[in-house]
Amino acid sequence: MIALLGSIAVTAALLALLALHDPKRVRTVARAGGQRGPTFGKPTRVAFGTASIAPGVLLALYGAWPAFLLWFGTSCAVGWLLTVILAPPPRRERARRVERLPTPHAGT
Amino acid sequence: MMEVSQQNAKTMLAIHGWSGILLGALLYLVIVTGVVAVFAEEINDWASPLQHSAPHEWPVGLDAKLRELASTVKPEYQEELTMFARAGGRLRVFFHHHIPVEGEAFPQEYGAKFDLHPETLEVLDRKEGWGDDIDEVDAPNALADFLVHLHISLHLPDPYGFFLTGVLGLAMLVAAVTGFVIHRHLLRELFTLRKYRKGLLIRRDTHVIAATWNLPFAFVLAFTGSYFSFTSSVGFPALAMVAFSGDQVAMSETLNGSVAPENTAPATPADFDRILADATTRAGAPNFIIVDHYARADARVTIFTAAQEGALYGRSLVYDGSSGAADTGKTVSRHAAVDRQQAIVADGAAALRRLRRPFLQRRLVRARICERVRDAVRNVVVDHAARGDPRMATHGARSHLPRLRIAACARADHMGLFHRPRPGTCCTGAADGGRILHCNHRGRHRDGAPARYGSIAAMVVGRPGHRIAGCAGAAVDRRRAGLGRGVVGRSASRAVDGHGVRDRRRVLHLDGIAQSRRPAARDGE
Repeated sequence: MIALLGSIAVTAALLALLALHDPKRVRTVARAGGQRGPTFGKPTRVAFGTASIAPGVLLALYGAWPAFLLWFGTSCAVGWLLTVILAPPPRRERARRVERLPTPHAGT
Repeated sequence: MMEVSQQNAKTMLAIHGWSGILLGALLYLVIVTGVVAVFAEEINDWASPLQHSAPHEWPVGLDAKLRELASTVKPEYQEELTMFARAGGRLRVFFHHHIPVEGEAFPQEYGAKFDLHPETLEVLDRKEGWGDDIDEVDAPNALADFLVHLHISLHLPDPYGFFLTGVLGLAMLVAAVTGFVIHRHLLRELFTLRKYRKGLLIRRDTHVIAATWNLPFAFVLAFTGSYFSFTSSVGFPALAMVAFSGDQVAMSETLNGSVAPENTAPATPADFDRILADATTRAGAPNFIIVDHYARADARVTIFTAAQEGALYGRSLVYDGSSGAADTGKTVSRHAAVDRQQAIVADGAAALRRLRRPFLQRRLVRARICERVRDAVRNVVVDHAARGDPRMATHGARSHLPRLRIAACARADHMGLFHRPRPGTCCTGAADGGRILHCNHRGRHRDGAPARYGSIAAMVVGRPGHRIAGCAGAAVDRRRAGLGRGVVGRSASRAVDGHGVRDRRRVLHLDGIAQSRRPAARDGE
């Protein structure tokens, strides 16, 4: 169980890093009006991607197939959740946020 | 991701869309009920709880109770006894015998069913009749049964429900494959969801993101779903047709080991409590038990156990039902063999009713049975070859054994369903100078006759120096190239040199258009 949770945690952390520094996602955020953050280069992305799969490969090599399946399913769900959570917000919400910001002349 | 031409991409997009549109709603139903049905056991326990129950444990004192119950049922019902836990931990005990029914592949069960309280062993319910009829009015398990059957067969009659869910699985597989191919930036857009764009684009991104992250599981679900559906409804009956002349009972006996000699002499049953304790010590808690010929000298107890922690499979143990000794041999009684195979393989609905838990393990048991089918068919082929059956294509059969690609077996009239000889191998009798002795033209081929062009399902390839019998690929190319009768019957010593037929163009080239237009070409003479 600990091995399973550990492997999921490692994969989730690496996927989060990949998502945060994914060039296309960062570009999309910038286009949507957000801040353009740093991105990973291709070698880094490949390394992180490989490392994120490694826990599952280890589980499979170890023969822990139920744990492997759980890791597999959870990793896919985490990846999808990260994508949804880190996506730039829709227009209306963005407009609302802009409205909430204080104008330069406010309070004068 | 993958380079495809624009036209191909359009075609695949259309296939992707239509496979989703036409079968999407049903597929959605199957998937949603499948998710819920994983918890079928818990749902049953919740829906029909028992007071003061210790669910899913085998109580001490079961032996005495079985003897008492056996004395209350008709002697013929003691032919077989099955036991397993149902909703709320109730113990289902079913004394029954088997009656052949016209139109059914297997004899049907008829007998007396008892539901016992798992702690007090009090009889909670008693019914007598056909096994399927009893299951249909099984109120405590009704909710989970409803969900499970909706998932596996959409409540359609057997085997049509399995056909439909199998087709749904294939449609999902097609959608997954075409989606994978047509989406060019699968990895690049793995984290890209443009919520700030307009409606259609947002929906497109949402669809792609959800599908991409679920693609591996979509493959697994679609493949296993169609595999299990078609295994029950098509694969096993077809294998029985191929290797056992349609006798599914004979096939199941082969799969489950040799049949023990019958001994109808009465005998005192072994202490069942002791057997259960021994099985629990050896392999964990039992979850399904079959007793054959209860209170007879040839009684035999087969116990299936749940998978241990971290394992995918449970185990099955066999005990002598009169002495209680663990049986390490493979001999099983006739009805145990039939019933096990029937329970796990052929009669899917009944099997799922009886092999109630755990759900996942039941499916895995089926997978194990599939391996045994493969071994059994392999043995049949080897047996034919060893006996020097003149109609046996030894060369082809042997060369395909590892892949279960039986080239041509004397009993394989319908082998076309499975048979796909590789190019360069021969599925014809080599001793007959390359003439096709037996091939897989869906049973249309006459023994001893040369190959004939027709609805050739698979490639039938002569060896170097022999004739090309026919080639499905070539037939397709024939239409595409606007040829006449195809390549059948041409002398093809140059073409079949180990790889010729796989290469359709080469076959066409070597056989030539002019020759293949010959009307007489179909006879190969």
